[in-house]
Amino acid sequence: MNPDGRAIILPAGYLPPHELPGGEYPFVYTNGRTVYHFHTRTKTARASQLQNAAPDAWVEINPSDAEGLGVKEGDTVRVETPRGTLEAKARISGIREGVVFVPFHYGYFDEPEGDSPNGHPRAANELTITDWDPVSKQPIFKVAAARVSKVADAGGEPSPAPTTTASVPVVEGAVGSAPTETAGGDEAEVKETVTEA
Amino acid sequence: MHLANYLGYLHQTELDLAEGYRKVGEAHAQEADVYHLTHTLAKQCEAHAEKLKPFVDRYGEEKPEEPENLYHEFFDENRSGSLGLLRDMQDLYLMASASDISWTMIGQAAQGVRDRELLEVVDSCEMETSNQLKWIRTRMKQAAPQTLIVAS
Repeated sequence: MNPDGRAIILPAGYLPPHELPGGEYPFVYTNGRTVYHFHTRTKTARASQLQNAAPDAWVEINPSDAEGLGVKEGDTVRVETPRGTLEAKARISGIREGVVFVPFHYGYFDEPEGDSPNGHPRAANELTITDWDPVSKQPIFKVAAARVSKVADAGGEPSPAPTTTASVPVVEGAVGSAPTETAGGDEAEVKETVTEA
Repeated sequence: MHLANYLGYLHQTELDLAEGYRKVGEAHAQEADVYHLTHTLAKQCEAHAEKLKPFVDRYGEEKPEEPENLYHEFFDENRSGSLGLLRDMQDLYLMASASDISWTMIGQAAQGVRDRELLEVVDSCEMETSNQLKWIRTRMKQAAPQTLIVAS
């Protein structure tokens, strides 16, 4: 088969995910990136502007789901799937109802306390299902069923989620601990002087 | 007219194949992809049987014993380990082949009696059964070198 510079599009019938929300695990759990970090932050955690913009994991949740769970902005929540658990501060965002999002950048390489910094496990990949597409072998990282519960009040500590991008807080849900605005600050200032030869 | 015989054969084969997929998936659950995909395919087989049901009622179902005999021979006892996985998958391949050739036969008959509804069901299902065979073959090929050469 020689596509000769053209793409070949193969249709495939829809198959539902192997783990659907319901019963004990009513939420869809998904994970992904923030623009401020790359993979496990082995480089971006060392750039202070980037690290300060998104210093720790968070859980994005819709305002109506948060209300149902009694969760306010900045409260610590626990997300559990049949395989693992993480705990992080809630960001009440414009995410779809019934879905929670956790950034996957935060492992433990830079945590002296190991796999449970401050008593809170935070690695998003411990919750994912061990499964992959039979043809492409793409792992099923993006869909799992989860339950969410509140662990502790914010206690004045805001969620570390950036106030930009998809984690922008929604105004009506921003009761609780006021988010710290993501800004570049002095460290992000750059000055370049060009001298004509 | 023996269409009822083949409809009965295929209907029962799809139901037994569904059970076979589940048993093999459970027996080899440590192979995560096998576990999940066998359960997906089990549901696919049950959907096939469901689609066949109106035609079994229309043409009258005869109940040949072969599918049940095959099922007991293939799946009463699952094996373990890497050779066990290959042999269990091979049994799935044989059972799915019985289904595959039956879809072809029934498709021929459906054209002969001009039963468009039955033909639509055959069209929508036979490709899925054919894909099941492709997956089993590919998965066995993936496991075969390690099992046949290295495992003891």
